[in-house]
Amino acid sequence: MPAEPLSHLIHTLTIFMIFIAVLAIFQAYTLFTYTDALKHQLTDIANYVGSIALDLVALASRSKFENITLYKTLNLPSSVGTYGYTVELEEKNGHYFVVVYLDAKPSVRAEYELPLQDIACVGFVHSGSRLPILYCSRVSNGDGSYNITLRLEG
Amino acid sequence: MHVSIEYMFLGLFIVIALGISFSNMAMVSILPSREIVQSQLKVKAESLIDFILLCPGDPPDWDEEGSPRIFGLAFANTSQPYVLDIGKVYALNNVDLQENLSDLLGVKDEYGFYFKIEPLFRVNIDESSPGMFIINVTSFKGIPLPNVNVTGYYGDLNERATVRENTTGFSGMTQLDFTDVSGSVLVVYASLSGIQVSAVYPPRSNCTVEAGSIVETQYPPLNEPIVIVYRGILEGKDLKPMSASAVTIYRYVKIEGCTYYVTFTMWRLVD
Repeated sequence: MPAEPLSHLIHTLTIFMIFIAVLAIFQAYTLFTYTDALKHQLTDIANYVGSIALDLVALASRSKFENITLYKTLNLPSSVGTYGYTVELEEKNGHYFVVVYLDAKPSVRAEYELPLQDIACVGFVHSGSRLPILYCSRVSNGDGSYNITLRLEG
Repeated sequence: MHVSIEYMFLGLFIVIALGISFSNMAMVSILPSREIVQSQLKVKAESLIDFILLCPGDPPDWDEEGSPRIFGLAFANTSQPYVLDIGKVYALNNVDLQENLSDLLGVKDEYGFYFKIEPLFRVNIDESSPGMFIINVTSFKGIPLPNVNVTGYYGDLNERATVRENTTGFSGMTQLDFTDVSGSVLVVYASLSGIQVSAVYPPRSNCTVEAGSIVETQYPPLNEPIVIVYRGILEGKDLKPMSASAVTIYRYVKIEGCTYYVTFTMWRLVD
């Protein structure tokens, strides 16, 4: 049995360690919740840009003109939390995505897969861009089929 | 010894108090998070079903050429929204297309979905005796519909049809009497408040009415529901409820002048 002062010291240190552990857990939880909230906001932006892309493709596909370019000015928030972000059109293994990620933490990202195949999908905009515009061009191949190009500029 | 017990109680009290606070905090943040995920899913489902119903796809006549590069069911040569191509709708029965659909819609391994298209009214035709037809009209949920105007065109293919009209009673039933004329095909249009559905007898006859004559068509009128499910379980033609966070979107569409009801349910495969 250790001496009483030593026993007090050990117990006090144990209590401190419990406090530190609890604080660390709270800190990790807060970070997780904050990142989750940021991801939700990025998902909202990805869904918004993705929906507009689909609307433009549907409108261009229905057009009576053989070749047509439609565009829509995007209304994007200037930041997510306190972070800047990038909206990018990406192609991965023949699938096309609207990808939104934080500039400071690219691992915090959201994606919207577009139900499109064999199109051209290029461009990106950073948050704070004055005039982010999504273009959709339809060019007829002459045999009834057509090529779709989605381009994001800002 | 009593000092150790005091410390142990203190430590235990701190852990329990913080544990309860932590658990409450988790509840407070998880509940809104689920709401947000569901509202985001609804936005995705709405944009996807509208894209399917508004875009003709690529090539625009993909139902005649095989599988599409871009999937859409809209009729290519019309500016009217939500008008579908019957050939593309019938192509949904193609097993190869059904297998590729999740890939074409960009939902593979991430979302499940259920798609059903059905006539807004169900029109059932029975020939009780030669030339005497009993028409039974119910809603898509099986409820009898009274006061439905039923117009029948009876005759042979490529010939002028005899036209008879009647209105359904409380039981949703009426009859059309063609005993005084000869014919082989009956085309029925049931309309209520501007909504129209067609049916043919004998069932699945490829014909319609144009300028008062019965003419042959490529496809019969769509009278049975067409259902596609990806990563879900069917109970009959309906989806077995499986995910509390599933969202369902409804749309009315027109095919060959008749009104149909589209149900689109989507859920996340990984919560």
